[in-house]
Amino acid sequence: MRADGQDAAETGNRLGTALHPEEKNHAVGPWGHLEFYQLILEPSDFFLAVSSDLRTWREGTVWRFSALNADGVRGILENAGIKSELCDILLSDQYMTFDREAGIFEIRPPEDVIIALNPVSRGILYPQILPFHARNPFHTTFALPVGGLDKVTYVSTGVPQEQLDLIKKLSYKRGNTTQFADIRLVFSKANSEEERRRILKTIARERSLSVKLRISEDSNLSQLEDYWSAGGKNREILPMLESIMMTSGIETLDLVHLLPPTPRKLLNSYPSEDGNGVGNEMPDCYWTAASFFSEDPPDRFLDSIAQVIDNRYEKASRPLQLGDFILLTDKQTGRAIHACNYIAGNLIYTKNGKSLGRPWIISSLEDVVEEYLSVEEMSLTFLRLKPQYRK
Amino acid sequence: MMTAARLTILLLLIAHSLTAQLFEDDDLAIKLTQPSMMVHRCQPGPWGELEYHYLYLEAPMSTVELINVPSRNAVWSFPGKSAEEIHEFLINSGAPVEEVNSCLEYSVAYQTGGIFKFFPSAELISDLEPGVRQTIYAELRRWPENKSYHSPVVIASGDVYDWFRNSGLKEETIAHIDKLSYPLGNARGFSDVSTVVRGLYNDEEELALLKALTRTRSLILSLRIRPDTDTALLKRYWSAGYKSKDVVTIFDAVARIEGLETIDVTRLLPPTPRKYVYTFPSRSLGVDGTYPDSFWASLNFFNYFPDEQFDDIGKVMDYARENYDISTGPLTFGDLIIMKDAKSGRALHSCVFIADDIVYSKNGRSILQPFMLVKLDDIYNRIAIEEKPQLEVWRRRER
Repeated sequence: MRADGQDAAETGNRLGTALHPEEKNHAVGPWGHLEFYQLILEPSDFFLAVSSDLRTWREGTVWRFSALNADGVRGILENAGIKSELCDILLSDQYMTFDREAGIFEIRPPEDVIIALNPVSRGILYPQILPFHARNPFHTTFALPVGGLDKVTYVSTGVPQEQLDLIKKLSYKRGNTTQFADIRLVFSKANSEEERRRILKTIARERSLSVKLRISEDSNLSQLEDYWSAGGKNREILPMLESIMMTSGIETLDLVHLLPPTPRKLLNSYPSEDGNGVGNEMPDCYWTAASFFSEDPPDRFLDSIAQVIDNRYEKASRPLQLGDFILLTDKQTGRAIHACNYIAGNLIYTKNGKSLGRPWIISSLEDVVEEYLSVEEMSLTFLRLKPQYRK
Repeated sequence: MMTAARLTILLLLIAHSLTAQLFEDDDLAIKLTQPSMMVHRCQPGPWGELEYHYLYLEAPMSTVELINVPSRNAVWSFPGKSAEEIHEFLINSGAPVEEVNSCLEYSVAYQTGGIFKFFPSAELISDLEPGVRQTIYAELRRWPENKSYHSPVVIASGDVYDWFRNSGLKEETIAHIDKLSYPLGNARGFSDVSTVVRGLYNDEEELALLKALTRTRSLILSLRIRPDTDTALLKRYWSAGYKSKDVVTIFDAVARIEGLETIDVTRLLPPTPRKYVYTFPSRSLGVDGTYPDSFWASLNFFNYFPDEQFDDIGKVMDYARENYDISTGPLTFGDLIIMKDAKSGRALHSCVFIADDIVYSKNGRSILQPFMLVKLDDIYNRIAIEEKPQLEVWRRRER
């Protein structure tokens, strides 16, 4: 898939799954000659500090279900493909209790049962495990990288291989994404607190790209200015770009210098405790995409931004421009699934989800589409700020 | 008096915890006159292996267009002085007598009352010997009425040709500026925009001159990563005791890449300076009534969202006392350097130590001055025109 519509553009290599981890890749077009490497980001210690998993794992794995009676629970288990004989065991007094006050059945499954579940069964069973709040690992699961954990563990993790293998075995599919929920089981097998911290950081690893603009005598300043100033919305970078082009001996310029102030501030960083956010509402993909050209993003973008999109954006004409708003929707229902900003070539700027463990990154459009391809058909809409909202 | 180069060396000594050494003036290795196109290397230190290129940042044309092109006729204002006193001053300073007499006669004829305005001819201005120009302009600098003398263009490197290289100015225009420039502390000053405008022939050339005169020397700084680089040590330095947490993420990420040879130091700055470095203040930064100055830039270095209270110098020092401690140890990333008037103790400027002799700064509130990485010498030369300031180093407390 090519998103840019730039006839003259070419990419040196298909991005996304084709991108070799340690290989320099290229994208050439009106944005100049970009080269990029893959970065693997890990969340900061702040994320560990706010993560409940490091505190609650000792409670062990608990499957909580709401059902009228034990047969209702059996129905849920059997529907997930768990054999009747195993259901008998799980529903026995040894493993299941009933909280009459709450009307909740609790199963504490033995370790071998959890491990023996196949991915399809996990995918059916786990979304039904209560409660539906952030501290339930079956509700707030870890989204492993597109292509699986191997995509981010090819460099040292500090986690024993058998633990990585166990995580892979316990992971399952939701739509096109790979999920992992059995953090308590994996934590119980860790030898130290440090190992648990390394596990948490490893499964929260995310790929980003380190992008540089290659400068040479052939670079066309006027063309670069046209592209990176984004029709006047990103004029702040022009003095730097002009200065760089006039300075001999500089071969590359980090993309960070070409982005507007807010993405420059946020790129490859994680949400801060001091950062944008109102209560539980933290920056997500929509906030990120709407804030691309805002020097001081309004908290309003933390709310539903349907109105913002309707009022401020119009369909983007081709070729695409820096900062164009890419909206991913369910083609059948029209429901918004994700948003990101166009950078150049097939590169986009995004924050996947509002978790404190998800950074602002540069990614390929293919990777983002693959990560969010949870519906039968997805539609991509390219939008651009209306002229009256340009600076 | 301490020269700028001596200041650099002094800070290096502090930074490296070396034993102080005495240098004779002849021994001072002034780094300022090296050509801008070369790659320069910092002294090695806990910051790692740093290299940089000088950059000359010019204000965007949309801002330059807000500046009025001055008249081709220069005006020297002498508040409280009579024609006789001005004549005596100029002659005693060494200005050519005939030219002075001729200009004074013309000036007397066109006085409109109030402050005496002396109209120097282009010939008089051009004919001034460097020492004479320095003396006269030092006097003119005292009065804000003489705008281009009161706030001259400061060529911090002292090398006019290097300063305006690739600026788009004609060679003869640069030569003219060079001829009219004068020693200003350890830098060179330039005030005679009116005289240089006389040699230009269209609006385009005039705008190009005004744009070039907004030049500020900055630098783009890279950290070299080699296979044997100890990134744990670098992480410790650049995270400033974890006051800047994002750095840990980027170092860990970079440590996992083979083939990435350098990191742009912009990526190692905390969020707020990363957002603004190498840019000129936008209109939105002036919404609250004032634009950021050096204190705003440096005291907000570690703040995720800038604190807007720093338009009052009293609040600046209160904030420093509440959040920083005076430091006498080796300089480290994020240290606040405050330059104070040696006599009154008034804070004149502040900047933030990055590494070696490089700081993060914004000079004054002007929208013509960018946020930038810059040599400490360049800042010092700008501040130390009249008197050498007193330097204090403050360190942000752990939060």
